[in-house]
Amino acid sequence: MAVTEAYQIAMDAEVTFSDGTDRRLSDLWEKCPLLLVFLRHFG
Amino acid sequence: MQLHHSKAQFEDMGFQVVLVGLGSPDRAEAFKKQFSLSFPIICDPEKKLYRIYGLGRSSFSRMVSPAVLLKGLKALSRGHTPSVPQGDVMQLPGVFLIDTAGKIRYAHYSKDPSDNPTIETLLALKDIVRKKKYGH
Repeated sequence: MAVTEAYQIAMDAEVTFSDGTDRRLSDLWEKCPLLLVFLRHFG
Repeated sequence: MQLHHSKAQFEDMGFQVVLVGLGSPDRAEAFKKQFSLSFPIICDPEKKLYRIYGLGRSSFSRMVSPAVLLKGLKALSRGHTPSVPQGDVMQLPGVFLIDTAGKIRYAHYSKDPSDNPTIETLLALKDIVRKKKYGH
């Protein structure tokens, strides 16, 4: 199912990057649009 | 990974691309190296983000559907050799575009593992953000 122009408020959360740093997800969209790509798995 | 080949175009659009995966940081770093990826990767082994963004799991019948098998064969033909996956192979992927106001402007919930938006679709998202910016 593809939904365009959903206009829902994105949920925020504390996230951990592969380099070990922790950030709020909202920090990532603060300055520029964020394309968040969820993978099935690594490999 | 097709996304990687379009990195410069996403940068030109002013988008930040961030991947989310189920594995550990070590596995994510190995994955980045394997595919020469430069996108940041969020590690979500407990599926916290997957849950709050509403991404579900596939069924066995959808995992072995002709479309999924065909996609696997195409990947093999392109030289992608599968490794042992870490995480949940039944987990469904998805893509979200979040604007600077924190609103989801595009959402794609994959209905099976072969159901991914094309690069052309993702590159066209610049028009969605531009419409909002200039009020068209």
